[in-house]
Amino acid sequence: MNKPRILVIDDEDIVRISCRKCLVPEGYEVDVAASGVEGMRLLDNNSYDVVLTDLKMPDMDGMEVLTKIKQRLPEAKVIIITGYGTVETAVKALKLGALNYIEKPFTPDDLLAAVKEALDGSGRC
Amino acid sequence: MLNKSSILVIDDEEIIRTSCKKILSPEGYDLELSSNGKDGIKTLQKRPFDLVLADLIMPDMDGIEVLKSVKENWPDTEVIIITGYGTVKTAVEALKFGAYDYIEKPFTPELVLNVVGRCLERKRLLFENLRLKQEIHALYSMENIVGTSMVMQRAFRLIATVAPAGSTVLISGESGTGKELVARAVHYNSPRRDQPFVVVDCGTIPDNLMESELFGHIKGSFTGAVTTQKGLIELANGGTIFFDEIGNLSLPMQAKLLRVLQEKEFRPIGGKNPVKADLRFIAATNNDLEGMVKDGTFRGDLFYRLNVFPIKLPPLRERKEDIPALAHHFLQKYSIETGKEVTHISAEAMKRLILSDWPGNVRELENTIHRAIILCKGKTLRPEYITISDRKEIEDIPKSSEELKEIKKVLRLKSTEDVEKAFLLNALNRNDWNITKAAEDVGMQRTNFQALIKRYKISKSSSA
Repeated sequence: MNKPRILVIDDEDIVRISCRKCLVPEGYEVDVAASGVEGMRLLDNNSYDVVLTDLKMPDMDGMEVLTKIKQRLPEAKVIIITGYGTVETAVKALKLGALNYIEKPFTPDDLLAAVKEALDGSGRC
Repeated sequence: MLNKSSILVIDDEEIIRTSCKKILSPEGYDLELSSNGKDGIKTLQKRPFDLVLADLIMPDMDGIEVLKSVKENWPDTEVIIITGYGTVKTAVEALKFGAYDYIEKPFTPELVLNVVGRCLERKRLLFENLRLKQEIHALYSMENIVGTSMVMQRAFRLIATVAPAGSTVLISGESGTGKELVARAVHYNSPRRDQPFVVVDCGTIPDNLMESELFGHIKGSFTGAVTTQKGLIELANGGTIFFDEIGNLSLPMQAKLLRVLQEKEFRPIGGKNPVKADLRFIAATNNDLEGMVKDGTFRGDLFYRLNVFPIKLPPLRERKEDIPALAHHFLQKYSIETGKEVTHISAEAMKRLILSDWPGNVRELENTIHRAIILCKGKTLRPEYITISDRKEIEDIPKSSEELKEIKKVLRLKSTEDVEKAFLLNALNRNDWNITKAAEDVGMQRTNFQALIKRYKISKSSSA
């Protein structure tokens, strides 16, 4: 059985590192990108089971990343992670097709639960 | 449903119920109000609503519980949550459970109207989409494959058996016998009917492009790959993929296809990781694949993988009793398409159709009727409008009135000849080749009848 592959897109080092630290021991393969553009490039060349993306990033924000991903891969599972959570952006993201929307700071358990939920397909239909 | 959409407002605060009414009633919505979750559900049990506006925080039964109940029991009813205590968590929860939107109080009338309007429009579009899908299903159900002959009945039974089962189907038959139509019927009668149906035309896609067409490519993976492109297999994912003329696949492509069938995954050109392929396979051929396997031009292992459920479609000449029904089916179709009201086929014309052996099968018959309708003057299709290519007659539609006149002259001569000949032979056979009896039988003067026989050089020995 192949390991599930996760892509983490976040401009903050610490977020990328802590996501990796949390997910790899649980048996996930993790790729990271420091920007939306880099993330899209990785998506061009690889397939991922779940994509985690930050909202506020300098070159391409999370909403744009989400929109672009959904255009190319409508079945893609995307989770938004953000330190600036608002009801408005949460609603917008979910409507655009994000499976979940997590506010920073999040615990490793929060993250693992969200990833597992996305993989199980027990999120939105 | 258009302007009398029904909305149920559930809020424990009277002021909210009143303001919703003030905002929504003037728009012509059919409105009902409820002060708590349980009553709201009871109201829903009595009659359906297009939309429920529910407050989040309510004693007894809160908005999320209402939402869950609505989505479980009335999945077509939309729900919008309104709340004065909006949090990211509850917003995410609401959307996850299927709410269309989540509005925070205090809200402006414009916002409510806007959100409600968009929600109901979306609902209308989804309904429309479903209706259109059903129309398509009806089109590709088996009623649209015409034929009451024994061989077709057998084919229908096979389609009905295999369609829901999901197994791979191999359809064989001469060119023009309706293989793609059968493939579509199988798809639209299967659990995958709402998923894609993708056709791979192995007969027309050049060898060197086939791999890219099927598996897609990553930008830059070869010269000319300027973008990342999804292949046909990926586009069909979740649905059915139909390989027409599969005998045309090169041996290397056959090997790659076999791998997809076996592993249920594939790799785009230039891609690093395999992509899952959840597909139902249907293939069609007019070749003798088994013979090709013996020759070494088709892989045996691929053949056995495809030949799980074979369906053989008979050539039209083996089901001549279906010709009248088919002819009328196409008559109707092309009358509508061309806008010409051609409603009948004359007995002589029908005879001509039945006499032909149709090497191009149903497709040839269809084209013949189509051409005939274009040429036809009046409401009845006469033999002179029918051109059948095995008599090496015109293939093209005449482009000038001179051309038309010429062709009609030739056609009139040729077609009446054939029909007359058949008519004479038939009469003679019925009357033991007694010319006097035959002439009497058809109501013709003996001398005329005899002259015709002479003209066509008909004799007992030559008519066998």
